[in-house]
Amino acid sequence: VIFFQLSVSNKVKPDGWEEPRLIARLKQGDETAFKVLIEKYRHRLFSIAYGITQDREDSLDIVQEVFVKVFRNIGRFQEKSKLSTWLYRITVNHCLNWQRRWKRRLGWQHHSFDTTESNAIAGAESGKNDPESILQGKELEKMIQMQLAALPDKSRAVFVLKELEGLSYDEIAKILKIKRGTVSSRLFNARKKITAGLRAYGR
Amino acid sequence: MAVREKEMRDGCDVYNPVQLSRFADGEMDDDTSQEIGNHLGHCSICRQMVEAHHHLSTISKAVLKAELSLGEGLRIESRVIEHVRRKQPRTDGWAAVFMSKKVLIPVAAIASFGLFFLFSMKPDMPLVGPSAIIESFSGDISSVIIMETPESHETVLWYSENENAQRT
Repeated sequence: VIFFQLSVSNKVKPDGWEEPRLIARLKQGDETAFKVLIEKYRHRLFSIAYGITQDREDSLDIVQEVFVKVFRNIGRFQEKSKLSTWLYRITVNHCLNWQRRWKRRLGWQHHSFDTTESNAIAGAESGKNDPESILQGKELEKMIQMQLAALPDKSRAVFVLKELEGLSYDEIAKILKIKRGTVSSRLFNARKKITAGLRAYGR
Repeated sequence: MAVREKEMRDGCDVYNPVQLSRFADGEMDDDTSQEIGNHLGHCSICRQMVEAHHHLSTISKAVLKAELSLGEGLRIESRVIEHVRRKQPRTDGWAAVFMSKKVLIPVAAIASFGLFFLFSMKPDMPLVGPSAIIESFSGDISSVIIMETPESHETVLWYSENENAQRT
């Protein structure tokens, strides 16, 4: 059945792949299971990577590396946590290592503002689509991105997991292997800095 | 306006910003959440802080949200699956199984041993020798042809001699 499915269609549907079954098949090295995993998580992992690195190309590479790492290490996954928690942890660690690497090499502090979702911010803030609102939205987006880039890496990771994924403090603590109180304080400080930065720009 | 700014600066005596942040994140226990909810009804300072928190969350979510294009998604999938295939033993048919080194090397070794023993155990074959022996020859020859008959294995020696040569 698996061979037939592979030879006929490359598109897999994650529906019906409950986590225990998916993990079991991944551990067997089943190619279809990996396709399901990628289909299920690539968007979320990419969003997290992009939120932390602020670089589209690097985020693509990071997500790719994360899946390869999962393939190599799935045998060691003990299922004490959810699969998503494990995936998020690998992604965040990869992002932080990536930034350490580049900071060492280039004194990295770059941001890419070429996102195609620029208009989203305008809609999110005002619900208007007129050019003035879009322009204001883009400016605000740039300002927030600048504030985000200026945050310490670990605070940015907490902020991204909270705001983007809507994870609880306990879930974030598990992913980053830190205390719940640390999550709370990092999150509070990140918001405080971003708000202060925006005030400085008169927002 | 000045009074309001002063209030914001000084904050509220009942709840601090960290507590309000946790409340806005839904991280307070039910009783405390209820208390803070009631407090927000009459404290404009705390209410504004919670509203500001939600506002920042909404904007941040929009800024952080990044969609993968179809091409980018496929690129990730194809590269990862390529890696998975490369690192995996092939089990997609008998031919692949037989062509794998694990099978091929022992089979080749066994075949070599088999061939070696087959030839070393072969009974002695009669040697095919010449059917006529030339005892002596003196003189000059200009050309020689040596032939063997196919079934009786007789050797035929033909040569062209000069005047002083002798045939045996």
